[in-house]
Amino acid sequence: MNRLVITTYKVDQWLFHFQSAKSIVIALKQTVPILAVNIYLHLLYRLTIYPDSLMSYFFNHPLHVAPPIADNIRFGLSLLDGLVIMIFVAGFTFNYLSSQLIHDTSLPILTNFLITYLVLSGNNQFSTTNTSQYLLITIFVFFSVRSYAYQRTHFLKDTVSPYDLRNLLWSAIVIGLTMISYHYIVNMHFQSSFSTLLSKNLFSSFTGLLLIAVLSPIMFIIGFPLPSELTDDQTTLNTVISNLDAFLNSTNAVLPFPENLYSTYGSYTLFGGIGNTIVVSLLLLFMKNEPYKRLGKIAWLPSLFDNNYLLYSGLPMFFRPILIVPNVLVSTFSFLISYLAIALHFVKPVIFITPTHLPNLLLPTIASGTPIRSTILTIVILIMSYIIYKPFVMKLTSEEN
Amino acid sequence: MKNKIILSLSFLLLLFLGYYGHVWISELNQVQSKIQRSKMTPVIFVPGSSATINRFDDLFSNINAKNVNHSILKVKVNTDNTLSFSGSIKSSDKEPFIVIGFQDNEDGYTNIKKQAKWLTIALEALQKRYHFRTFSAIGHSNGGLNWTIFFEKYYDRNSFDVPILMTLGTPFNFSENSLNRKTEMLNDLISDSHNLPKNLQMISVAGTEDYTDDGIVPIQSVIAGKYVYQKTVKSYTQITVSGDNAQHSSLPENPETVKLIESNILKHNKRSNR
Repeated sequence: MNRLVITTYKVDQWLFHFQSAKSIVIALKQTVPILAVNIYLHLLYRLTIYPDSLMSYFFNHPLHVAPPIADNIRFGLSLLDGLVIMIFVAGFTFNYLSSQLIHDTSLPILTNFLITYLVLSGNNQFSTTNTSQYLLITIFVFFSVRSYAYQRTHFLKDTVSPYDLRNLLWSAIVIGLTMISYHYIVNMHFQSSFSTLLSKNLFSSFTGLLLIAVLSPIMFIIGFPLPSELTDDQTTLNTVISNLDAFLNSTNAVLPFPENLYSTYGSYTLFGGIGNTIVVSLLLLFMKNEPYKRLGKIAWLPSLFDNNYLLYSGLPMFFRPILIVPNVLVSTFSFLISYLAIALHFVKPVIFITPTHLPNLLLPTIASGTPIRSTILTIVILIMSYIIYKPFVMKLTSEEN
Repeated sequence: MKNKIILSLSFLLLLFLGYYGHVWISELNQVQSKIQRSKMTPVIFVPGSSATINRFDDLFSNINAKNVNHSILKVKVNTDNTLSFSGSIKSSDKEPFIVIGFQDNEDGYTNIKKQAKWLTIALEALQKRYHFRTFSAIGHSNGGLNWTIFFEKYYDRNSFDVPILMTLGTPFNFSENSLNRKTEMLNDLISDSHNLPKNLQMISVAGTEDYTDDGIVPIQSVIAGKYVYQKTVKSYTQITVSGDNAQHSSLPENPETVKLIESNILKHNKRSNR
């Protein structure tokens, strides 16, 4: 294990000795304050005002807010989502170009701001609940800043105004190329294709489920768009509906798909977000290093409700080999343990649909037919996750002290 | 110390959410399992504009006189969304007749849209009361339009399963007698037709008194239903009846219509089932 931690750390360090990667890390960390405000407001909104809020499930109606005010809150939150990404883009652009000794960064920042705005508003998705923006926007901004730095250092003198026609031409070309590429990428419909793929029979088999448990953490950490079935909502899948139908017809019925995406991956690998990252928040909470401890504190409540985006930006997790490895290990082992426990009839599979936004930690206990055994299984998986994450997180935080 | 407080509060929060989550799941499952296990598959009738909930009385007498005695429940949806019930459903009746009518039964597209919403309110209340999931739908005249708008805008396949819809003299293109002139309503119905349930069998019955209409609704307006249903649902059948009682308001009592209902919709129609 120790060797794996050291090797992974070396790869991580190699990747992050590149200036562009360093700039991404700094920019992500700079977004944490605004991201924290954003995530807490979203949480409050989803627990109280949202038509599908937890409050509406438990008390039969959400907190009453006049429709125009609710609309404005929704609009404000989506703007805040966009603002988080834009601050990341501005930070990345500034940090990278400053490291290349380019001091007037106003034009590239404006250009990248515009690119981000067009990308986000073009798809109507100002949302931080999806990591797809990070990969796509990071790639666009990366090429933008690299091309600007190349142009400044190779073709233009330092004395040339940043708003010189040649610079403006660069800006127009970059925006044009980005929008053309974005158009093609969006038309590939990654997320909907994945959703269709997930309804195939393969993904109700052991191999298919294992593939998901291994690949989804990788895709999540590299910022690839994931369908909602892999992050928070598996209850619309046919296998889940068939199980519930069978149970409702007869409580003693043999379930047609006991081991499915919801009963294994969805119920035992998403505590605090993909790869049981609630454990990472817990580890940070007990750190001696004050900034990490503070991150653990602010990330804890969202983690309880399965939102790990503060860790995603604060550690950061984005593109980090040292966090991909434990995330994949935890996801895979959690899946395997839960699969075995169901197959060996130690626990009954999770079949019931629960209120939206209910913490995943509660899912095995309240949505399966064996609450006590499922709780024990949850605790076992959490302990295993803690053991796997600890050396990686310790190495990461101690070396950065 | 602070961490201990954070973790203790989190534990209490989880206990609170777990308790309420458990209550919510138990209540939902009780209702859902009653619906799932229900063997009742009612036939639900919706009368046309200006008609009351007694619109199908002659049809019911006709069917009940020949076959098994279906119990009859009539529901009137008032303009304030409250419901008035008359009649009852026998606990042993697997195929009761339910009529849903509206206090505001005026004609017109705006009103028909309102009626479709009221129809949804009534269906949800009936499901809560009688725990059925599957039912057959019959709509006379504008009642068929109410059903169509219901399927396009309010139908939730997780709540209901409707294998068959029969419309009787339904004017999909209002009083237009040419298929070339589509009304606003027909255009709306066509544009939302992708929401129609894919497993639905649709039978559209038209009446002809004089080869062109049933006295009120032009046959071309009934046939316009093909633009909405054909190639969208599982099957679309268009049938024209004539002879005695083929005029618009008598269509439900037309002997051919009765036969069509008995053969296509009623499944528990033998004396032995009584």
